[in-house]
Amino acid sequence: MDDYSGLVGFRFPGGDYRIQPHRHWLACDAIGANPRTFRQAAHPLFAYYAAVGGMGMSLESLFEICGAGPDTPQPMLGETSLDLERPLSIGATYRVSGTIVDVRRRSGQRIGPMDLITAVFELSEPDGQEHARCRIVFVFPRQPS
Amino acid sequence: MKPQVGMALPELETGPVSAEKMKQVALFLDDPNPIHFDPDAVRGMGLGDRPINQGPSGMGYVLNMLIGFSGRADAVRRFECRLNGNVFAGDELTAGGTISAIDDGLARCDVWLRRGDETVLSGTAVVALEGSPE
Repeated sequence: MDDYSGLVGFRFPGGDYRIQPHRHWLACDAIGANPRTFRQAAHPLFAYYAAVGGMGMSLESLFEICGAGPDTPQPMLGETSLDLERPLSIGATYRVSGTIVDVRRRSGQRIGPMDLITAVFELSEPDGQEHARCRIVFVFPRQPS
Repeated sequence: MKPQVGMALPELETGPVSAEKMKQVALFLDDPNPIHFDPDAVRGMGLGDRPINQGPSGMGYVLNMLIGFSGRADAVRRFECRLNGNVFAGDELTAGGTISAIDDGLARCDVWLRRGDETVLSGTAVVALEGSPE
Protein backbone atom coordinates (compact mmCIF):
# COMPACT_ATOMS: atom_id res chain seq x y z
CA MET A 1 0.00 0.00 0.00
CA ASP A 2 1.24 3.46 -0.84
CA ASP A 3 2.09 5.83 1.98
CA TYR A 4 0.10 9.08 1.91
CA SER A 5 1.60 10.68 5.01
CA GLY A 6 3.42 13.10 2.70
CA LEU A 7 0.08 14.84 2.13
CA VAL A 8 0.29 16.44 5.58
CA GLY A 9 0.85 20.14 5.00
CA PHE A 10 -0.75 20.13 1.56
CA ARG A 11 -2.39 23.50 1.06
CA PHE A 12 -5.50 23.66 -1.06
CA PRO A 13 -5.48 26.28 -3.81
CA GLY A 14 -8.46 27.93 -2.08
CA GLY A 15 -10.70 30.55 -3.57
CA ASP A 16 -13.87 32.49 -3.08
CA TYR A 17 -17.27 30.94 -2.43
CA ARG A 18 -20.49 32.90 -2.67
CA ILE A 19 -23.63 31.54 -1.04
CA GLN A 20 -25.83 32.26 -4.01
CA PRO A 21 -29.50 32.50 -3.04
CA HIS A 22 -30.57 29.90 -5.60
CA ARG A 23 -27.80 27.55 -4.46
CA HIS A 24 -28.93 28.00 -0.86
CA TRP A 25 -32.53 27.29 -1.85
CA LEU A 26 -31.62 24.11 -3.72
CA ALA A 27 -29.30 22.86 -0.97
CA CYS A 28 -31.95 23.38 1.70
CA ASP A 29 -34.51 21.61 -0.44
CA ALA A 30 -32.14 18.65 -0.87
CA ILE A 31 -31.69 18.14 2.89
CA GLY A 32 -35.28 18.64 3.93
CA ALA A 33 -34.99 22.20 5.24
CA ASN A 34 -37.68 24.64 4.13
CA PRO A 35 -35.80 27.23 2.04
CA ARG A 36 -38.53 29.81 2.62
CA THR A 37 -37.82 30.00 6.35
CA PHE A 38 -34.30 31.38 5.80
CA ARG A 39 -33.93 35.14 5.49
CA GLN A 40 -30.41 36.47 6.11
CA ALA A 41 -28.59 33.68 7.96
CA ALA A 42 -27.64 30.70 5.84
CA HIS A 43 -28.13 27.09 6.83
CA PRO A 44 -25.13 26.19 9.03
CA LEU A 45 -24.31 23.24 6.75
CA PHE A 46 -22.97 25.89 4.37
CA ALA A 47 -19.81 25.96 6.50
CA TYR A 48 -19.20 22.52 4.97
CA TYR A 49 -20.55 23.30 1.50
CA ALA A 50 -18.49 26.50 1.26
CA ALA A 51 -15.33 24.70 2.39
CA VAL A 52 -15.69 22.01 -0.25
CA GLY A 53 -17.01 24.38 -2.92
CA GLY A 54 -14.25 26.94 -2.36
CA MET A 55 -11.22 24.73 -1.74
CA GLY A 56 -9.99 25.39 -5.25
CA MET A 57 -10.11 21.86 -6.56
CA SER A 58 -12.81 19.33 -7.29
CA LEU A 59 -13.64 16.46 -4.98
CA GLU A 60 -12.54 14.19 -7.81
CA SER A 61 -9.09 15.81 -7.81
CA LEU A 62 -8.88 15.65 -4.03
CA PHE A 63 -9.81 11.97 -4.07
CA GLU A 64 -7.21 11.37 -6.79
CA ILE A 65 -4.30 12.87 -4.84
CA CYS A 66 -5.45 10.81 -1.88
CA GLY A 67 -5.24 7.65 -3.98
CA ALA A 68 -8.90 7.04 -4.81
CA GLY A 69 -10.35 6.71 -8.28
CA PRO A 70 -13.01 4.90 -10.28
CA ASP A 71 -11.29 1.54 -9.78
CA THR A 72 -10.66 1.79 -6.05
CA PRO A 73 -12.95 1.58 -3.03
CA GLN A 74 -14.75 4.88 -2.69
CA PRO A 75 -13.89 7.38 0.06
CA MET A 76 -16.40 8.20 2.78
CA LEU A 77 -16.99 11.02 5.19
CA GLY A 78 -15.84 9.94 8.65
CA GLU A 79 -16.10 12.95 10.94
CA THR A 80 -16.81 16.64 10.62
CA SER A 81 -16.78 19.65 12.88
CA LEU A 82 -18.17 23.08 12.08
CA ASP A 83 -17.32 26.17 14.12
CA LEU A 84 -19.28 29.27 13.32
CA GLU A 85 -17.87 32.41 14.90
CA ARG A 86 -20.74 34.26 13.28
CA PRO A 87 -23.61 33.05 11.11
CA LEU A 88 -22.95 32.73 7.41
CA SER A 89 -25.10 34.99 5.26
CA ILE A 90 -27.05 34.21 2.14
CA GLY A 91 -25.56 36.21 -0.73
CA ALA A 92 -22.19 36.77 1.01
CA THR A 93 -18.81 35.75 -0.40
CA TYR A 94 -16.20 33.98 1.71
CA ARG A 95 -12.54 33.35 1.11
CA VAL A 96 -11.70 29.69 1.63
CA SER A 97 -8.29 28.34 2.60
CA GLY A 98 -7.45 24.85 3.70
CA THR A 99 -4.71 22.43 4.63
CA ILE A 100 -4.40 18.68 5.09
CA VAL A 101 -3.34 18.41 8.71
CA ASP A 102 -3.26 14.70 9.43
CA VAL A 103 -3.01 11.30 7.74
CA ARG A 104 -3.44 8.20 9.87
CA ARG A 105 -3.51 4.57 8.80
CA ARG A 106 -6.03 2.42 10.62
CA SER A 107 -7.62 -0.96 10.17
CA GLY A 108 -11.27 -1.77 10.77
CA GLN A 109 -13.19 -5.04 10.90
CA ARG A 110 -15.67 -3.94 8.25
CA ILE A 111 -13.51 -1.79 5.97
CA GLY A 112 -10.07 -3.29 6.48
CA PRO A 113 -7.04 -1.03 6.02
CA MET A 114 -7.87 2.64 5.58
CA ASP A 115 -6.34 6.09 5.74
CA LEU A 116 -8.07 8.81 7.75
CA ILE A 117 -7.16 12.06 6.04
CA THR A 118 -8.04 15.24 7.91
CA ALA A 119 -8.41 18.63 6.25
CA VAL A 120 -9.12 21.92 7.99
CA PHE A 121 -10.70 24.84 6.15
CA GLU A 122 -11.12 28.45 7.19
CA LEU A 123 -13.84 30.69 5.81
CA SER A 124 -12.96 34.37 6.02
CA GLU A 125 -14.47 37.62 4.99
CA PRO A 126 -12.65 39.58 2.26
CA ASP A 127 -10.87 41.61 4.99
CA GLY A 128 -9.36 38.38 6.32
CA GLN A 129 -11.45 38.11 9.48
CA GLU A 130 -12.19 34.44 10.17
CA HIS A 131 -15.86 33.62 10.02
CA ALA A 132 -16.09 29.85 10.28
CA ARG A 133 -13.96 26.75 10.36
CA CYS A 134 -14.66 23.30 9.01
CA ARG A 135 -12.72 20.16 9.82
CA ILE A 136 -13.33 17.10 7.67
CA VAL A 137 -12.01 13.58 8.18
CA PHE A 138 -12.23 11.55 4.99
CA VAL A 139 -11.98 7.77 5.14
CA PHE A 140 -10.06 6.20 2.26
CA PRO A 141 -10.35 2.38 2.26
CA ARG A 142 -7.15 0.75 1.00
CA GLN A 143 -6.75 -2.52 -0.80
CA PRO A 144 -3.91 -4.64 0.59
CA SER A 145 -1.16 -4.96 -2.04
CA MET B 1 -40.79 24.95 27.86
CA LYS B 2 -37.66 26.61 29.17
CA PRO B 3 -34.54 24.67 28.06
CA GLN B 4 -32.85 22.81 30.90
CA VAL B 5 -30.14 20.21 31.32
CA GLY B 6 -31.41 16.74 30.52
CA MET B 7 -34.21 17.99 28.31
CA ALA B 8 -34.74 16.04 25.10
CA LEU B 9 -34.67 18.12 21.95
CA PRO B 10 -37.75 17.95 19.73
CA GLU B 11 -37.19 15.03 17.39
CA LEU B 12 -37.33 15.44 13.64
CA GLU B 13 -38.46 12.66 11.30
CA THR B 14 -36.93 12.80 7.82
CA GLY B 15 -39.43 10.59 6.01
CA PRO B 16 -37.97 8.24 3.37
CA VAL B 17 -34.55 9.45 2.18
CA SER B 18 -34.90 10.35 -1.48
CA ALA B 19 -32.58 8.97 -4.18
CA GLU B 20 -33.54 11.95 -6.35
CA LYS B 21 -32.28 14.39 -3.71
CA MET B 22 -29.00 12.46 -3.63
CA LYS B 23 -28.56 13.24 -7.33
CA GLN B 24 -29.27 16.91 -6.57
CA VAL B 25 -26.57 16.90 -3.88
CA ALA B 26 -24.11 15.01 -6.12
CA LEU B 27 -24.48 17.75 -8.73
CA PHE B 28 -24.32 20.47 -6.09
CA LEU B 29 -21.08 19.12 -4.59
CA ASP B 30 -19.70 17.89 -7.93
CA ASP B 31 -19.27 14.58 -6.12
CA PRO B 32 -18.06 11.85 -8.50
CA ASN B 33 -18.78 8.96 -6.14
CA PRO B 34 -21.28 6.72 -8.00
CA ILE B 35 -22.66 5.15 -4.83
CA HIS B 36 -24.83 8.27 -4.54
CA PHE B 37 -26.54 7.94 -7.92
CA ASP B 38 -25.84 4.56 -9.56
CA PRO B 39 -27.45 1.48 -7.94
CA ASP B 40 -25.24 -0.76 -10.14
CA ALA B 41 -22.15 0.80 -8.57
CA VAL B 42 -23.57 0.14 -5.11
CA ARG B 43 -24.28 -3.49 -6.07
CA GLY B 44 -20.78 -3.82 -7.56
CA MET B 45 -19.27 -2.83 -4.23
CA GLY B 46 -21.39 -5.34 -2.35
CA LEU B 47 -23.19 -2.60 -0.44
CA GLY B 48 -26.75 -3.52 -1.37
CA ASP B 49 -28.91 -2.24 -4.17
CA ARG B 50 -29.98 1.23 -3.05
CA PRO B 51 -28.01 4.47 -3.49
CA ILE B 52 -26.14 5.64 -0.41
CA ASN B 53 -26.85 9.09 0.98
CA GLN B 54 -24.13 11.74 1.17
CA GLY B 55 -22.71 12.08 4.67
CA PRO B 56 -23.23 15.85 4.81
CA SER B 57 -26.95 15.35 4.23
CA GLY B 58 -27.14 13.36 7.45
CA MET B 59 -25.46 16.28 9.17
CA GLY B 60 -28.05 18.51 7.55
CA TYR B 61 -30.95 16.55 9.07
CA VAL B 62 -29.48 16.97 12.56
CA LEU B 63 -28.81 20.67 11.94
CA ASN B 64 -32.43 21.01 10.79
CA MET B 65 -33.50 19.52 14.11
CA LEU B 66 -31.32 22.04 15.98
CA ILE B 67 -32.73 24.92 13.92
CA GLY B 68 -36.20 23.67 14.79
CA PHE B 69 -35.32 23.58 18.49
CA SER B 70 -33.78 27.05 18.55
CA GLY B 71 -36.24 28.61 16.13
CA ARG B 72 -33.35 30.34 14.35
CA ALA B 73 -30.95 29.47 11.54
CA ASP B 74 -28.15 31.46 13.19
CA ALA B 75 -28.24 29.75 16.60
CA VAL B 76 -25.86 26.86 15.87
CA ARG B 77 -22.35 27.86 16.98
CA ARG B 78 -20.62 24.51 16.84
CA PHE B 79 -21.41 21.08 15.48
CA GLU B 80 -19.22 18.01 15.59
CA CYS B 81 -20.14 14.52 14.48
CA ARG B 82 -18.99 11.07 13.57
CA LEU B 83 -20.73 9.08 10.86
CA ASN B 84 -21.23 5.54 12.06
CA GLY B 85 -23.01 3.88 9.14
CA ASN B 86 -24.38 4.24 5.65
CA VAL B 87 -27.85 5.67 5.01
CA PHE B 88 -29.68 4.24 2.01
CA ALA B 89 -32.42 5.55 -0.23
CA GLY B 90 -35.77 4.82 1.38
CA ASP B 91 -34.42 4.77 4.94
CA GLU B 92 -36.50 6.67 7.46
CA LEU B 93 -34.46 8.52 10.05
CA THR B 94 -35.03 10.39 13.27
CA ALA B 95 -32.81 13.25 14.43
CA GLY B 96 -32.75 14.13 18.09
CA GLY B 97 -30.64 14.91 21.09
CA THR B 98 -30.41 15.97 24.70
CA ILE B 99 -29.18 19.12 26.41
CA SER B 100 -26.07 18.16 28.40
CA ALA B 101 -25.13 21.58 29.78
CA ILE B 102 -26.21 25.21 29.72
CA ASP B 103 -23.59 27.89 30.14
CA ASP B 104 -23.64 31.59 29.37
CA GLY B 105 -26.72 31.36 27.16
CA LEU B 106 -25.38 28.41 25.20
CA ALA B 107 -26.83 24.91 25.29
CA ARG B 108 -24.41 22.05 24.81
CA CYS B 109 -26.20 19.12 23.28
CA ASP B 110 -25.55 15.48 22.53
CA VAL B 111 -27.12 14.83 19.14
CA TRP B 112 -27.83 11.78 17.04
CA LEU B 113 -29.42 10.48 13.86
CA ARG B 114 -31.06 7.07 14.08
CA ARG B 115 -32.56 4.48 11.78
CA GLY B 116 -34.76 2.54 14.15
CA ASP B 117 -32.48 1.49 16.98
CA GLU B 118 -29.29 2.02 14.99
CA THR B 119 -27.37 5.28 15.46
CA VAL B 120 -25.93 6.28 12.07
CA LEU B 121 -24.53 9.63 13.25
CA SER B 122 -23.60 10.86 16.70
CA GLY B 123 -22.08 14.07 17.88
CA THR B 124 -22.32 17.25 19.90
CA ALA B 125 -23.53 20.76 19.22
CA VAL B 126 -23.52 24.17 20.84
CA VAL B 127 -26.66 26.23 20.29
CA ALA B 128 -27.42 29.79 21.39
CA LEU B 129 -30.56 29.89 23.51
CA GLU B 130 -31.33 33.58 23.16
CA GLY B 131 -34.62 33.84 21.32
CA SER B 132 -35.34 30.13 21.57
CA PRO B 133 -38.94 29.18 22.26
CA GLU B 134 -39.73 28.72 25.93
